[in-house]
Formats: sequence, structure tokens, C-alpha cells
Amino acid sequence: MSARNPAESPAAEEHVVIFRLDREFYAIDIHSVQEIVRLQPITAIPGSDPWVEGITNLRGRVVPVVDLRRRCGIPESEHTSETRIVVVHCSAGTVGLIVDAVTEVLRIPASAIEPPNALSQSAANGYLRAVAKLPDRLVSLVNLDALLGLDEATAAAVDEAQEALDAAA
Amino acid sequence: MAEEGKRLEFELDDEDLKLFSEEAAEQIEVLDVALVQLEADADDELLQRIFRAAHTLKGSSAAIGHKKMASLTHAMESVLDALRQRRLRPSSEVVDALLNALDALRVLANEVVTRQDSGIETQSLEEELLALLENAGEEPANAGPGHGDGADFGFAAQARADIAAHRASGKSILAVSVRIRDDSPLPGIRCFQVLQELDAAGTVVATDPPRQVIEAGEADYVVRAVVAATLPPAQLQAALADISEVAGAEVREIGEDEPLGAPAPASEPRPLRPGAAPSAGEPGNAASASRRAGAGSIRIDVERLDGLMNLVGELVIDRARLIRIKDQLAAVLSGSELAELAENLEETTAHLGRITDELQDAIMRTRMLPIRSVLARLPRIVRDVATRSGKKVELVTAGEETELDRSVIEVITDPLVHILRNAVDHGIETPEERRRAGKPETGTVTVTAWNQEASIYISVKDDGRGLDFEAIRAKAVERGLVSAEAAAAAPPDEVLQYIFLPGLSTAKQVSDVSGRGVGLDIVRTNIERLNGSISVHSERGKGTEFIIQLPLTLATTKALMVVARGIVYAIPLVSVTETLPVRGADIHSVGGRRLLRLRDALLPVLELAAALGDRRPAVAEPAYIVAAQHAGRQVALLVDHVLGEQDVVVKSLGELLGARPGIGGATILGDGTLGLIVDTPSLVGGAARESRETQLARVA
Repeated sequence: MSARNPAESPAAEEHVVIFRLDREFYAIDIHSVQEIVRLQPITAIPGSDPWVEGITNLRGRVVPVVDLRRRCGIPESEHTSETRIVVVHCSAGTVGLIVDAVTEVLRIPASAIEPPNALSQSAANGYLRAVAKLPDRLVSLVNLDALLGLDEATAAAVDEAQEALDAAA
Repeated sequence: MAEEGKRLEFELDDEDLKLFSEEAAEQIEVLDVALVQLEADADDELLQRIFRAAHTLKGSSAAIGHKKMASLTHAMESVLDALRQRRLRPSSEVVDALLNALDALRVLANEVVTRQDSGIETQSLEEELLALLENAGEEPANAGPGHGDGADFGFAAQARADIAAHRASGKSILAVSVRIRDDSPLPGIRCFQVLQELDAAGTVVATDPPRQVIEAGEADYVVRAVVAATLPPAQLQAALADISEVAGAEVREIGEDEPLGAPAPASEPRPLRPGAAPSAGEPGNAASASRRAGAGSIRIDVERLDGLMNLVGELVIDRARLIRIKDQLAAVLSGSELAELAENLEETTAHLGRITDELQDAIMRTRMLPIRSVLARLPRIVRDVATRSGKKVELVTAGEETELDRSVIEVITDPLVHILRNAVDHGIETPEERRRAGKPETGTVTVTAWNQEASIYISVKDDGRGLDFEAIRAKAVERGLVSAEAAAAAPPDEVLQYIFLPGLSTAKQVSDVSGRGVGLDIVRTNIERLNGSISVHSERGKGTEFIIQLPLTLATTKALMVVARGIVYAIPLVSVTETLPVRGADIHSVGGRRLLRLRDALLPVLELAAALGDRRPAVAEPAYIVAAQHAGRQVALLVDHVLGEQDVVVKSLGELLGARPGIGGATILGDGTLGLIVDTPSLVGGAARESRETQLARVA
């Protein structure tokens, strides 16, 4: 993330992929995005976190897929023809994110970017690192590692599972 | 002197480091195996091999500036040289000293990786080695290869005729002898440079060693040659002396009546003390230059092979998809004009299938290595443990040619060594005990490897005292691992299983060799993680046999494919004992739990999906039961239906999901979707835990 910090960027702009969840727009640094694919078969993982949709086969690679609506606490809705999986790289490896639609790829000037504040209703969740004010709308810039990082409860659950596994083995 | 933990600097970059480590490990391995053989049979070939290995280690350690390692190998080399020249006998004292030095070398070689001073003390080891030399005989005047003896080269008549012809054409015949410095890491290359210099000077009539050997870079430290040239001997001598790392060069004209010998090579005075460490050669190059593989073979990075293996795995999956598409197409086109197309596709997919199979097989085989390299390490271990525990033990190995995937080789060594140590330390009796029992004083441990179906089996069998079932029972009770009643009622087979419980040790004395019973449980855990198994048979007074079974490769595994709540699961076939339909199965409800009566066994019944934490509602009534076992415990798994057997390529679920109890990974199915691989040990273990809890709850 820091390497792409707009303050350090000589271009003074951020190159992002913008996607939509419900009626809100979010942006991910384009360098984190590996590809965008249509919804494809996903195998559920029993006992995984509710926001983990499952795993999918991306040309021979097993990639976990996260339902971003569920991850962000937005009520679920039917998948549509616009639904996409955004495949990103983050500290937890390659992960697919189910989004309602991918709308565009954009260069946002640093001057339009502000730290998150009360304007964003989800700012408290910690995975929004900034807000970009575009002429027609607001776009939240997502911190992927915070979005996908294991929170403490999940980490504890994983530890517990590991212990059970060790004890069983 | 040595400062432990001090940071060390070596003259090499990361790539060289890798080469150095690989080569050092290889040569240390050679020494390890060969030194133990020395005592039994010190033939020339073996001595030569040992000497070369030590010499290579000396060269490469000197090249990277590892003075301590170079100095110690130099001391070893001096002893080995005396052995080679038969001035010293390979007594157990000599072999002990060499093995001790070798152990230190391992630590020193590792310093290159850690870049930390291990603080290991080598001075006394060197002194011990050099003390051995005091008992050695005098160095014969003309001993050892390369010490020129002035003898005739044994030229063919042709060479003599050539020489006569050259003489007739006015050229002078020069006898050349060049010695490369002892500490040169690249003697072969230097010898080749010498040959090039000679070629430039005139016509090389003959060389010792032969030209092909020098050109292959395999010459040792001395080159002798006869050259027909027009330049004065002194000029050629100067040119030769200019070559790097040449210790001495001598060129002399041979008169017409002189024998065609060459002068003894000028040699560097040997350092008397190992402290006079050889100077460093050219850093970095040593390791790479000596990375010569035998003719006709090359070394391949394991990662590349793994990459190939993964690609073939995907090809196998695509083939399965293609066959499905072909079937669908054939169904759609059946009877139409295009039916022929489907037939063509069928032929092509069949052919592609055969080729894929062969390719998979071929790549699999490139990853296969004979188990020899693992077994070769065992004599040393047996010798060490037997010496320390005062036993007399003969090790017999069989099945060295048995091949297995290198991924398995990497994981099989530790468990095998552990069991072998146990066999010598605890299994075999002291010579006196054996005599009293009417057995030969020397115990025998037999390690046998063989292939059977898709598994490799390794048996470690001793003719020792056998396991004491009563002692195991008592210990298990004492440690609170089983109740006194359960232990008393347990049949011998079950009691044997106790030895794999954590914290159980039956050895009366804790020895420093095989420790305190920690381990067998870990050994079993590690083997079962790999879809293998370990079993034990023992007879009081006659001995004990452990048999380790592992799949031939860890890259693919045979599995039974089943469906539960819409998800396809692969249950590793090693753990599946049988499948049967639910209809007609003898299922009972006992204390709120369901049990399946299968012949004379009662199996707890688990619904596979629910046991794995699938909270979605069931889509169908489970129709099949898969009986799965792990470590002698069986469970009955309810599944919706059974698809059949398949080879599956195991893939990790990835970091985000991590390890999940009951699920060991994912695999790509014929239709391109993913199935989940069931981790039977954790599933069965979980069921057993639950059943214990239920029992406790009932008691309470």
C-alpha cells in the first residue's frame, strides 16, 4: 500500500478499478487487481467464515472467494449478469471478491482524495483508507489487507481449529 | 577463540551459497557412508572416493574463505592420504576420529548458511587426526597417484613413431610436468589450461592422464606430457608457470637415447600443521565448477520438476473435461451427419489420454529415486547408537533399488532413523543378555524396502527382546492414558497401539540416544499426515518389526469420490475400508448416538457434511455409508452418493482459509469445479473424542 501512497506518487494520482456494491462505489488500486472474471462455479467450504463464499478454480489454481456484501455487512441480493469476481493479490495471497458490478478503470487525481470522515457510513470498519470525491459521486478507496485480514475472532477460531486438528492427529 | 554467534562473512553470493551447500552436503554424505564402510573393507576404490570427497570439501571451503573448515578437511585429508598409501590402517580409532571430524564439518558447512559462528572447537579434532599420523609408516618415495615416478608412459608404438618423425623434422621433444597447487579448487580446469598452453606450443604427442580426461576437466593435480615443439624449454616452462594455481612446472628436452619419461613434478612443500591454512582460490567459482554431473545426466532443480508435475496434473484434468465434452457431443450428434466428427474427437481424446498418461508416468519417474541414498545413511547411525549403548549390532539392508518419489524420500528419513535408533537402543539386548538367552552376541537389524501397488513399504526388524506387553500396559495406566480395566481387557494388538500414544516410554533407562519415548507418537502423526501408516508386530524374546507404508508420491493420491449436500468430497483411499448402502445397514441408536454394526465392530455414524461443519440443510437423504479408518479406529460416514475412485492432485486451500479440521485441501474435478479432500485422521480423531466425551457424560 505505502508504495502506492498518493502523497509519494510523482503522478499525484491513483489508478484504480471501481466496483459497485449495492448503491455505493469502491475503488481498489489497479496494481492489486489480477483480473476480473464473470461469476463461475464456487465450491462452498463447510465450517468457514460466513463471508467466505468458497473456492473456485481459476485456470488450475485454487482461489478462495469472498462475498463482499456479506463481508461489508450489506444485505445479500441475487447475483445478476453484472456480478463479477475481482481477483486481487493481498497479503493473504490471491483472493476473489464478489462484487455487484465493475464499473470502470479510472485515474483519480490526488487532489480529489481525502481521508475517510463522517461522509462515509462505513468508515468505522477500518478497511476504507480514503474517499475520492468525483464530480458525480463519492468513491471509497479500499485497504485490501484490512478488508481481508483476519480479525481477532477469526484468528482465534483458526487457532482453535488447528489445535483440534493437532489433537486429533 | 571461537565466538559463538559471531557473524561470519564468506566470499560468496546467494547462488554460490546454494551450490556450496548442495555440494558440501553431497560430499559429507559420501564421506558419511564411505567412512563406515572403511572398517569392513578398505579397498583402493573406496579410499580413493573418500579422499576425493575430502579433497573437494577442502577446495570449496578454502575457495569461500572458510578457514576453519578448510583447515579441518586438510587434516582429514592428511590422514586419508596415509590410509590411501597404506601407511595407516583403518582401525576403529582412525574411523572414529574421522567421523568426529565429519560431524564437525557438518556444523561448519552449516555456518555458511547461518553466517553465525557455531563456536565449534576444531583444534582438538585436528590434533587427534594428526596424532594418528605419528603411528603411520614413512611416506614412500613414489607413493600416490600423480607423484611422478619417471617411468615410461607406456606409449603406443604409434606415439614412438610420431616422436621419431617430429625429431626428424627438426623439432625438439620436450618432457613436461606440471603440478597444480594442492589447494586449488579447480585442478581439473587448471590442467585443461595447461593442455591448451601445450597445444599452443607445439604438437602434444602424449599426456598423462590421457587427453580425454584432461579435456573433460577431470584431471587431478598433475599433468605430464610429451610435446614436440620448436620453442626453447625455458620459454614453455615460464608460460606454464604463469597459469593460475600452478605450483610448479618443469620442461626438459629429451635426448634421442633417453627414456620417454617425464621429470617428477616440482611440488609445493606440504604444510606440516593444519593451521597453515591453504590460501583461498578464486571465490565463488569453486562450487559451480565442481558441479559436474556424470556423463549423460543433468541436475534439475526440484522446483522445475514440481512445476512440470503441476502442469501435467492440469493436463490430466483437462483430458477428463475433454472426455466429458466428447460424450456430450456424441449424445447430441448421435444419428446426425456430424456423428463422424464426434468419433474423430473420440479417437483424438483417446490418443491424448494415452500420451498424457505416459507423460505423467515419465515425469513421475524423473522424480523417482532409489531409496539407496536413505539406506546408505543407516550404517553410520547403527554404528553410533550401538557403540554408545554397548551393543553389538549388524545392519542388513535390502531393497536399495526400490524407487520412490523424492518428496517421499524427504519425509521418510526422519521416521525411519527414529525407529532404527529405537531398534538398536531398546530392541537389541546387550551382548551378555543375548548370550544368556542363547542368542548370538551380535544382534541383527534388518531394513527392507519394497513397492506394493501404489505404496512403498519399509520394514525395520530386529531380533531383540521384543516388546514387553505387561510393561506397556502398566506404563499406559500409570501415565493415565488408559484406565486399568481397559488396559487389562485390551488384546495384545491394541496394547501394541499404546506405544504410539504421546508420552509413553517403556525403556527402563532413559538413554541419550533415542530419548524418552517422545517421538513414536510424532512419528505416527507425521506418517499419517502423508496418507501413510505405521504398524508394529512384536514377539517376546524374538524381536520387533515396524512397517512404514507411504504412498509412492505425495503429488497425487487415490481417492474415493463422494457427494454430500451438493459438495464433492475426495476421501483418500488408504483410509476407506468399505462402502455399503444405507438401506439394509445395521444402524442402532445407542444413548442418543447412532452406531453401525459392521460384522463384529460397532462404528460411530457421522454425517460427513455435518461433521465437517456444513450448516446448510440436507438436500437428500444419505444413501451410502463409507467406512473409514485411521489408526485402528473406524467411523461410518453418511454420504448422499458415491461417484467412484479417482487420482486426485492435492491443492492447498490457500492462506486466507488456512487449515480447517477435516479438510485437507482441494482438487480439480473433471468438470473443472473443485472438490474437497477429506482429512480422515482429524475427522476420525474428532469422532473418537466425541465418543469419549459422550462416555464421560454418561458416567457423570
